[in-house]
Amino acid sequence: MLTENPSPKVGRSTGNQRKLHSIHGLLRGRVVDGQFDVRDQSYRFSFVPASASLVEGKLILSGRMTVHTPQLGTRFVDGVEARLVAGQGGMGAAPVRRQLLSGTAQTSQTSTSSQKIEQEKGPETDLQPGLQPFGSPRVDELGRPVIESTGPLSFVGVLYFSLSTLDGSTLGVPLDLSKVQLNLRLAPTDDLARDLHFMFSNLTAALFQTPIDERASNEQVQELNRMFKS
Amino acid sequence: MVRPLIRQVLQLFPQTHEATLKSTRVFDALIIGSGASGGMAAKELTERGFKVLVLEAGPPVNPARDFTHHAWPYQAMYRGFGPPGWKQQDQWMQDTASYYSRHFYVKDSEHPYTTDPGKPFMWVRARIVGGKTLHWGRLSWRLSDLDFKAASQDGFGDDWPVSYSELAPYYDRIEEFIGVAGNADGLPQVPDGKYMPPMPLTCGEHLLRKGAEKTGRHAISMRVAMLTSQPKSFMKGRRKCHYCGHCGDGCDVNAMFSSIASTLPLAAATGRMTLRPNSIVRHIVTDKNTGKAKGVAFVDRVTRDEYEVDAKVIVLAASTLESTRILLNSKSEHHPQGLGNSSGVLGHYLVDHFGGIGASGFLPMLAGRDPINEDGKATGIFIPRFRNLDAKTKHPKFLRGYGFECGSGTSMFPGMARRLITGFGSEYKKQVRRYYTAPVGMTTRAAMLSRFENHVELDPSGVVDAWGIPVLKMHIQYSDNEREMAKDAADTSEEILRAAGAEIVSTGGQMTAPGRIIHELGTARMGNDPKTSMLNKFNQLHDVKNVFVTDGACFVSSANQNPTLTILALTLRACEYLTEEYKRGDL
Ligand SMILES: Cc1cc2nc3c(=O)[nH]c(=O)nc-3n(C[C@H](O)[C@H](O)[C@H](O)COP(=O)(O)OP(=O)(O)OC[C@H]3O[C@@H](n4cnc5c(N)ncnc54)[C@H](O)[C@@H]3O)c2cc1C
Ligand code: SF4
Repeated sequence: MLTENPSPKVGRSTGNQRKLHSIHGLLRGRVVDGQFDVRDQSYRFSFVPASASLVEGKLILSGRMTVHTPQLGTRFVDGVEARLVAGQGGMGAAPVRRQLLSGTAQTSQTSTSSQKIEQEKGPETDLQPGLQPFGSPRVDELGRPVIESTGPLSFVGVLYFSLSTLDGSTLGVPLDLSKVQLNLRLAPTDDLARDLHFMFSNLTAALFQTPIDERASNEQVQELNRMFKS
Repeated sequence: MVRPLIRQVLQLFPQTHEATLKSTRVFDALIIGSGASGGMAAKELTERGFKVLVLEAGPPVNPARDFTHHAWPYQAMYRGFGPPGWKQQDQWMQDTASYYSRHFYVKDSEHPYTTDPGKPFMWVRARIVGGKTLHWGRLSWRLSDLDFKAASQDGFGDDWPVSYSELAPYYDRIEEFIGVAGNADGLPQVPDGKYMPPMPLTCGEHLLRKGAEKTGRHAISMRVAMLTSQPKSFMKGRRKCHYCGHCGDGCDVNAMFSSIASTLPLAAATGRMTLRPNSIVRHIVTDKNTGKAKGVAFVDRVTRDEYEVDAKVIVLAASTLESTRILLNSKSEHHPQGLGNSSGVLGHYLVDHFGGIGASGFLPMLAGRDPINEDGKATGIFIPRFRNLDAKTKHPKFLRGYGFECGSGTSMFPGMARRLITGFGSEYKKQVRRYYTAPVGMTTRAAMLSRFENHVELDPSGVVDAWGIPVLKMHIQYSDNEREMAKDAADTSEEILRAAGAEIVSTGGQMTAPGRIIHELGTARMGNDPKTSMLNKFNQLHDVKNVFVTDGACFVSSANQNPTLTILALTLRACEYLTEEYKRGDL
């Protein structure tokens, strides 16, 4: 039946891989906050970066990884390194900075209404007699409509970090944590996260171009360190 | 009335036949994915006597639990918008997911992919038994030789290895099988098919049609895979559409075509299909000596246990980019660049359609009339392509063309109140009441040129999904051809609305990001030349005879019509060919 989960036995089992491949979290303030599930058990985790550096053109964040389970309570490890390997989404298009928004009413209005329009854009199924709104046409130098950013959460981006080897038993997670990927989603809802997003955006723009813009990336890393310490 | 129907349909899906499984060490055919293409392949192959295993990455579907058909906004917390922040948490790239349909879509947190800064791609995916057919838009157009042989006409890119006349009989059979409502309009750019009665136009759509005609364009009824007359005898468990307009949340009377309404029940009824949900295929396993496929490796989505299973033939129908990802992940000594990729074109020629450009406003002659229920008709009116059909319609600035999806009428959530009417207080309410009956809108569905540089690859930095499977990195951008087309579409939509007598409120817009229209196509294209294509004209890998790719990955060019009808027709044709080859022992 499709209503059940029959998982009929087919094929040869080639083993149970008790490996944790990836975890994902949202940036809240300067804390990466998330949860992962292993079978029926949920684990909350947080990663708090304490410093940033550039090693061979890669951003490395170092900080504390904490895992919490109702049974074992809270456990943490310091000095965990997260190496930035890739990105996705709104990274690179730096979000309008909070200070700018509050500074000029006009910028604030433009940003808010254009975000709203994107939120309301209908999917393909929106063929009902309702309406598709069309944002005020933004055009290129030849008068042609330009491409939207990636939707309602256009400034949401994901940064993919590769974590240094973790010890499952120290953190109370009964899995192989030797190669865990941290998917850090940037959907800021507070000022600090918004500012950090701004910096991460500039930093990825500098790092993911060829050749790397070393001056800009060093500046951003210094700025990140300043913010982590503040 | 509804629940017994669901039960009746679900009873068509038998429990796993333990006896069959025990005796089946090697399946005749293994199908990856149970969406539009996988479901059709399962039906065709089981009916032809094959013992088939369908591996589906997503969970099983339970319409009683998962379909929120007929739910009123006030029945849901937050009026159906979901708790604040739910999208940021899990599904921010699943742009079309609503709180009611969120379980049809993947969680982005588990299913990453990567892009370069400033080059967005939106990958909207369903991982569930039935795939995207559970909530698709149902628009079902044929392609014509304007599309299949476009390169011969305008010199850009390559022709398809199939022609319209070759595919027409398969279109016929698919339309009859899935049930498509529409009109025979006699337009060569959207060839006519076998239709159920079309859905009637609303008053506003009649006016819009007249407007389009004044400007020399046609406006025709949408052709939609929905049953507008009594189901035929083979459409067991399906009912006539009752115009509730909730198709995007899942149709629990099966009036719209979906795999779980149509193809999978028939496959299951043969007793020869084993469907294993929660089975994520990692890669295709090949024989070390021959280089041919001998099975697949998959991981259980829930338990994370790893398996291998053998089959004589593999049909890849995991959706355009997932199929390509599986092929790229199936590297071996024989296939160092990915399975069947001696040509090096695997992953290339990625296209989507673009939208986001159009016009909207009000038809003043309809303002203030008595409101009637018009939004139960979950579809609108279509203005088919009118550029570059012949020498007379040749556009100086771009190749190929676009159509307009349009609609007009009242709707439960009068969107225009939020979007198009300004002001506040009682005056605002008066305006909403007045214009509620009169909105009209048009939006573009446009072709994108297939270019080698628009491609996907396995993420070079080693990003993986939640099951440790390497993910795709997308590289895609529009060219000047698309931008010129968008400019033309913005001007033309305004011209048509004005000709229809509309008061224009907004025009232009922004081109949607690639992927957002959910017509991602190409990346394992067909062709006659194995040096420049992955598949032959029957969707078979040139390099590996016992592997077929039947989903949108096979497209040579995008056309501007919605692709699913063509995917279904190609799948049917591929299965017919596969059967013949299998019988001859040629696989
Ligand atoms: C909201 C919406 C509206 C749409 N409207 C239209 C329309 O009006 N007209 C039109 O023509 N098209 C429309 N489409 C597109 C249409 O749904 C697709 O073209 C069609 O479903 C593609 O069929 P498919 O079989 O290739 O992929 P899918 O239907 O997506 O099925 C693929 C299946 O493969 C499974 N799978 C993926 N990876 C793996 C793996 N590794 N292992 C095992 N299984 C796997 C998935 O879980 C899924 O079930 C729409 C889509 C959406 C989402
Ligand atoms: S409008 Fe018709 S096809 Fe759509 S959900 Fe309702 S009954 Fe089903």
